[in-house]
Order: sequence, then structure tokens, then C-alpha cells
Amino acid sequence: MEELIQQLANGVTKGSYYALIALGYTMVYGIIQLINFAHGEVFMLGAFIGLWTFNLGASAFGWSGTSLVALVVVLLMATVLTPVVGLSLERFAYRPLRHAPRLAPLITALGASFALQQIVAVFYSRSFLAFPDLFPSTTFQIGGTSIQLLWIFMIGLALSLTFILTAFIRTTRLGKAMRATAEDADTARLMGINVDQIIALTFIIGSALAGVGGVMAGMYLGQVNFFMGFIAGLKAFTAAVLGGIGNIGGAVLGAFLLGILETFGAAYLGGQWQDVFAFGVLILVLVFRPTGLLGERVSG
Amino acid sequence: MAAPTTVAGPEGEADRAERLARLRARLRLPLVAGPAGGLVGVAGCYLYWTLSTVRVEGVPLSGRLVDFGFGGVRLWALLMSVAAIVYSGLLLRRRGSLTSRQGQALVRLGIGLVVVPLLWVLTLFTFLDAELSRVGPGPWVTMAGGVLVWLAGRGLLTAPPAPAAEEWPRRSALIDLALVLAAELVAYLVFLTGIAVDDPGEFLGFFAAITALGATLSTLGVFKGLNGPFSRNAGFAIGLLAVLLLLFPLTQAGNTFWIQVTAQAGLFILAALGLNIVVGSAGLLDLGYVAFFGIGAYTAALTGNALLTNLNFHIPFLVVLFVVSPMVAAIFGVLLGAPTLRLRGDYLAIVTLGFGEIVRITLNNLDAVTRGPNGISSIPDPVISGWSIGDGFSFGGAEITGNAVYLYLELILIAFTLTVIYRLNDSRTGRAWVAVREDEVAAAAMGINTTTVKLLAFGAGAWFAGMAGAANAHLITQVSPDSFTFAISVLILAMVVLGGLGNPPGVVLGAIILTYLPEKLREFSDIRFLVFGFALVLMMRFRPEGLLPSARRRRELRATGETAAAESQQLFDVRSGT
Repeated sequence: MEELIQQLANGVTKGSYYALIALGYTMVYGIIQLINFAHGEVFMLGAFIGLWTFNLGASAFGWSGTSLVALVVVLLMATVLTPVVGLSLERFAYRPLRHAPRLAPLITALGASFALQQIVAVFYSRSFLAFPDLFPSTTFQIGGTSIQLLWIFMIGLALSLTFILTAFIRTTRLGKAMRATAEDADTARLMGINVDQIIALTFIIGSALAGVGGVMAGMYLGQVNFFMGFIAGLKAFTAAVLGGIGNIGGAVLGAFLLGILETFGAAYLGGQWQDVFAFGVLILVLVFRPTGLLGERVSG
Repeated sequence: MAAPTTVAGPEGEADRAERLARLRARLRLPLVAGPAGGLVGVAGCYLYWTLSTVRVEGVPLSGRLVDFGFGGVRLWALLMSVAAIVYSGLLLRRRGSLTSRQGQALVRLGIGLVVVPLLWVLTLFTFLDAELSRVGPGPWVTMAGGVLVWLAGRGLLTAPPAPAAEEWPRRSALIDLALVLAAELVAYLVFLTGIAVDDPGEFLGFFAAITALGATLSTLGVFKGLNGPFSRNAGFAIGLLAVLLLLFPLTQAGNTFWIQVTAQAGLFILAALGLNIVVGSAGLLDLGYVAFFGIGAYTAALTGNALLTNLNFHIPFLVVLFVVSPMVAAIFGVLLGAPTLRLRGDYLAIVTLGFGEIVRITLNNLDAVTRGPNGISSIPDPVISGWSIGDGFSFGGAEITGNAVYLYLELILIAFTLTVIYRLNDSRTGRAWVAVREDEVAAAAMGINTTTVKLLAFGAGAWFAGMAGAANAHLITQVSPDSFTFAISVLILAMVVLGGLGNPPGVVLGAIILTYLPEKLREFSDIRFLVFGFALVLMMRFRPEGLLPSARRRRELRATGETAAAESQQLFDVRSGT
């Protein structure tokens, strides 16, 4: 039983950063029906931007390890810089192809994903790099389960960002415009909505969330490498599909579920089968319930 | 608002004459710039390219780089400059009837003349760590000449458009045969030269020059024109090509390296042709294609008498190659495809990606059968009725090595595959693939069972991948999960996209380029995948139909954009009218 709860806690924590990536996938898909393969790479870049910022701070202000200031600055930098990547992707790779046959933007997305990975590999590092412990490594014992303060922080951050995002989409004018664009871009344009701007906004929000996810994953896993976005992105996409693509609540639910399923799978089948488990879930969901658990929806 | 096109009466006549005169005046300057640019280019070729003190590891480079080597950069730059002079000279004589296509051709020549020396300088600068100040005036002057040629071409772009290129008509049987012979020999010589050029800087220059010259010829309609003689003499063309390819190992003077690379290229051609059925013909994006390649390879490894394996039962090689490996791969293809092919296209991409990873991880973890990460190694050369093909044979006094035999075997496989693919494309199934690709709903309405048709494409693609995999296992004598990563799937996809989605000759070209280029540019192997990624993005953006597009696919990939543009144009007119 204790073992079970421990795994559950691990899984939910993992799910929290999957959720932040999945939100970007689901929003972009909801609005322009494109699987943004490069989104996982934006997440990876978030982690690397975090690491880079920390290293800068370490040499300029002598940051070392746990520091609240460093944590906030690192998170902010990731949130500010990743949208630049997402926005350039949208502007230079996807927008010119918006009216092309569907195969074209998919191949472009794939190429962009590859290029981003390799940019980091070639110009930064190919090896696993240690990510600093920005968060105090306090551990609670609840019953026989040990829970780190970091985990609670991650879950809390993911949930509150989701909450803010939902509120934004439900209540603000821009959110309303996003929903309208997702529902019918042409009609939205006729209603005076600048569809290009709304799509760009979607990419900005999605990338910023993935950037935060990247920093969280860096702290959770303790290391980063240029390849981390590929598998994580694939899993986040699985989560988005599991919950019902285009559906924000669904993406988060799917992410937590996938995190839990995966940890259990790893615990009982052996860690080397962990990824097989996640992709198996993806295939099963797509075959038996392609609309996901909560059903497809257009943003909201 | 569109300007009125024809106005009757003397006034219209005068207006037209005046416009023509203005056009002439605008054309004169560019026409002088063309030959002038070419002359500057020639001058650049004869100036110093490096100062003599560039040293790499203590050896002065000047001797090698300053000479006009065979296939060397300066030779190509010189050739292109002369071509620019001759061609723009010809245009000067015919200045009355110029077309924008001729301008386009000059533009491409000019760009080539800039890029060739530029790449050479960049290689020298980055990879060889030479200081930029050591580069002589030659390349810069040549680049300036290229800019002039480019400007000349730009100036001509305002000329009226030319009619579409046509296939050259039959003049006489002899001329037809001579054209085919000349085209194939030139292509063969270019190929051999490419192999012979060793220095990475020289090779990049060579590659850029060939690309620019090819683009120029293509603009002028030469390739389209050659279609005529080639289609009239298909048998002769194929026979000649076969002879040239069979002679290839003999041109390598006992050096097996490039034979080995060519054999590798042959396998990639096979795999890419298979993927082309799935992506190009049927329009299904398969991102886990390497899984079928891997399944074929492991099947061959397990049935091929490998020394280091946990499980071994021997099946004769030819049976494995033509039946067992392809069948096993195709069965997996159908097993994966059956439940997933009714999904939307983009879901399929991600499912196949997941499948590819599952297969790789499974191969990695099933130690009992696959020996895990170590893989199966020491796979012997296949034995066909007592003769091990690795021993090679001698023919008329010429020694044919084992590698070359593999190459011959692959040529047979490729010929077989191409035949099957062309027959398939012309069949009911092939037309059904195209229909499903272009409009699935309409295809279903026409009575096509779309799921079956897609499944067939998936199975056929997997079949050829399995075959290629089986040959690959024996060629490189080992299989391991590391050889079947997602990156290889992307590599094969890049071959298909680069060459031309849906067009087998294009796919073959793409596979050849993407196998040789990394071997030629080993010094740049670090950035290989970076270049692939960017290449995919840029191709989709600027030339989605690939280097050698199929006519239908080109129309299709270009059409949507043009229709959209036409629609927005209409919208604009309506607005400006009110």
C-alpha cells in the first residue's frame, strides 16, 4: 500500500510537467489542427535556457544551488525566451504553409524539431548536463511515503497555471477570440478577429508553458540533454490525445493519468519498458477512443 | 485593377511601340552585365585563391588548392564563368526575342558562381581553421562576377514569359540515341568525378557547381526535352545504364570504400522507394518506417547463421531476402496498419512514430532473442548454392570483389522494385492510392475501400523495407537496435522529400545525394542532422515537390497555394472596386 502511494506521488509529479507540455500541443492542435512536433523541443529549450540562465547568474552573482531568487529568475527567463522560439516557428515554418496540403506542415514540424535538437547538440552540448537544485530539497514523511517539497511545488505550479489559462480563455476578450478562431477561423476573421495574431498568441502561451515545464523537468530529473524533448513531447502528445485533443482540462487529466500509468508500468514491468508502455497507451487510445476520455473540443 | 491588355487603334499601337522601346532600354544594361560578369569570373579564377602560407598540420595547402585540380573548385568556377559569357553572349545577339526564362537561367548561373567560391572559402575558414586574411583575391573577384551575372538575369526577368518546355521531338533515330548516350555518359562522369574529389572544400564547390548547372539546364527545359529521346529509347537507356553501373566497381581500381558506400546507397534507395509508396503515392506519413527495416534485418540475422546470436535456424538466403524478411515486415505493417489506418493522417504519423520506438525498445530489451543492446553480430556473407557471395568472382580477367557482388545484387533488387512500383502505380491500386491521397472522401464516394487501399500501401512499403533490411544485415554483418533509431526514419523521409515525393527517379536521386554527401563531408558529420532538419523545413517552404518532381505531384503541392492566392486576389479586387 505504501509502495502504491509512493508510485502514485511519483506519477502525479511526472504528470505535472507532462501537463504543461500537453497544454501547448492541445491548444495549437485545437486552433490550427497541426501536430507541432517541435513543441517537445521548445520544452527542451526551456530546460536549457534555465540552465544557461543559472550559469550566467552563477558567474555574475555567485548563485549556487538553492536560491529563491535564482528560481524565480530562471523560471522567468524560460517563460520569456521560449515564446520567441515558438513564435519564430509559427512565423517562419508554419504560417507560410497554412494553406498547403496537410503533409507539408507535418514534415516541416518534424524538420524543425530535428533542427532545434541539433542546434542545442552542436552549439551547446551533446552530453547530459546536471541541472542545479534550485529548490530546497526538503522531504516529508507522510505515513511511509516520502514526498519532496519540490513535487508539491511542481504540482501546485502546473495546476495554478492551468487554472489561470482556463480563466484567461473563458473570461477575457482575447480568450474569446481564441475560442472563436478554434471553432471557425474564417468566420472569426469576418467578425474582425485578427486570426494571425490569435494563432501567434496560442504559440506564445503554449511555448511559455512548455518553458516552465522544461525548468520543472530539469529540477525533477536533475539533468538535461538535447534529446529530452523528443520522448517527453511524444508523451505529452499522448496525454493530450488521452484527454481529448483540443480540450484543456482533458490535456491536464491525460497528463496526470499518463504519469501515473507510466510509473506503475515501470514499477511492475521493469523500467526499461516504461516508454513502450506510454506509446502502447497512445496506440490503444487512438484505436479504441480517438476522441479521448473527455472528448475533443475546441479550446476551453 | 488589371490594366487593359489590348487597345485597338493607332494610339494603342504607338503606346505599345513606346513600351517595347522602354523594355529594350531596360534590357540593354543587363545584357552587358552578363558577359562582363562572366569575364570578371574568369579573371577571378586566374587570380590567387590562397596565399601560399596556409598550413594544416604543418603541410602547406597552397599546392593542392591553387592548382586547377581535376574537378577542383577553380575549374568549376571557370567553367561556369565561361558558360555565363557564352550564354549571355548568345542572348545579346537575340535581344529582340528574349524571355524571362532565359533571365531565370542566368540568375541560377549567377547564384552558382557566388555560392561555389563562397562554400570553398567557408570550408577553408571554418573547418581548416585558416585565417580569412589568407584567402587571396580570386574567390572574391569570382563572387563579384557572379553577382553581375545574377543582376543581368534579374534584369531579364521583366521580359515576357516563355511557353512551357516541351519534349524534344524525334529528328532521327541516330540523334535520339546519341542524346541518350551523351546524357548518360555525362551523368556517369559527374558521378565518378564526385567520388574522385576528396577535399571537403573542393567537393562542396563541385556539388554546388553541379547543382547550379543542373538548375540552369532544368530552367532551359533541357531535362524536359531529354524526356523525349529517353522515352522513345527506354530499352537502350536502361541497358546502357545497367552496363555503366556494372562497370562501376572496375573504375575504383581496387579501392573498395566507395563500392561499399554505393552498396549502402543501394539499400537506402530500396528503403526510400518503399517509403515513397506510403508517403508519396498514398500520402500517409509514416514516421516509424525504420521499424520495418529493422524487423527485416533482425529476421535475416536470426536466420542467417550468425556467429553471435542466441537463436539460430538457417533458411537459405534468397528465400529470406525475397520471402521471409519482407513477409515478416509486411505482416507487422498490416498488424500496425489495420487498427490505425482509419485514423486521421496526422494521428497516423504519431502512431507510427510510437510504433517505431516500441520496436526499437523491444529489440533492445528482448535479450533472449535479440541479445539486447549488443545486437547480433558476425553475420556471414550469404551462400548461394555453395558460393559465398563475399568471395566475389573473376570475370574476363577482372576481379569482382564481394562488395561489388552485393552491389550487383542490389541493382537486381532495385530493378525489381522499380518494375513493381511502376506496374503498381499504373494499376487500379496505384490509381486508388493517388485518389485517396488527393481526396479521401471523394475516393470513398467513388467506391474505393480506403482502409484496404491504405493498408495495401502500408504493407507494400513495409515489404520493401524488410527486403532492404535483410540485405543490410548481411552487408554490414551485424544488427543492433542503435541502427534503427528515429533519426534513420527521418533520414529516409528526407531522401523521399528531397528527391521528389511520389516520383521514383527523384527518390533514387534523393537517396544517392543523402548517402554520399555525409560520406564526402565526414569533417562536418557533427552538423549532419542539423542540416537534414533545416533541409526538410526549407524544402517544404520553397520547393515542396522536391528536386525531381512528378508532374502531377508538383501541380498538387503548388495548386493549393495558388488557388488561395487567386481567391485573396479576388477579394482584394472586390474591395478596391467598392
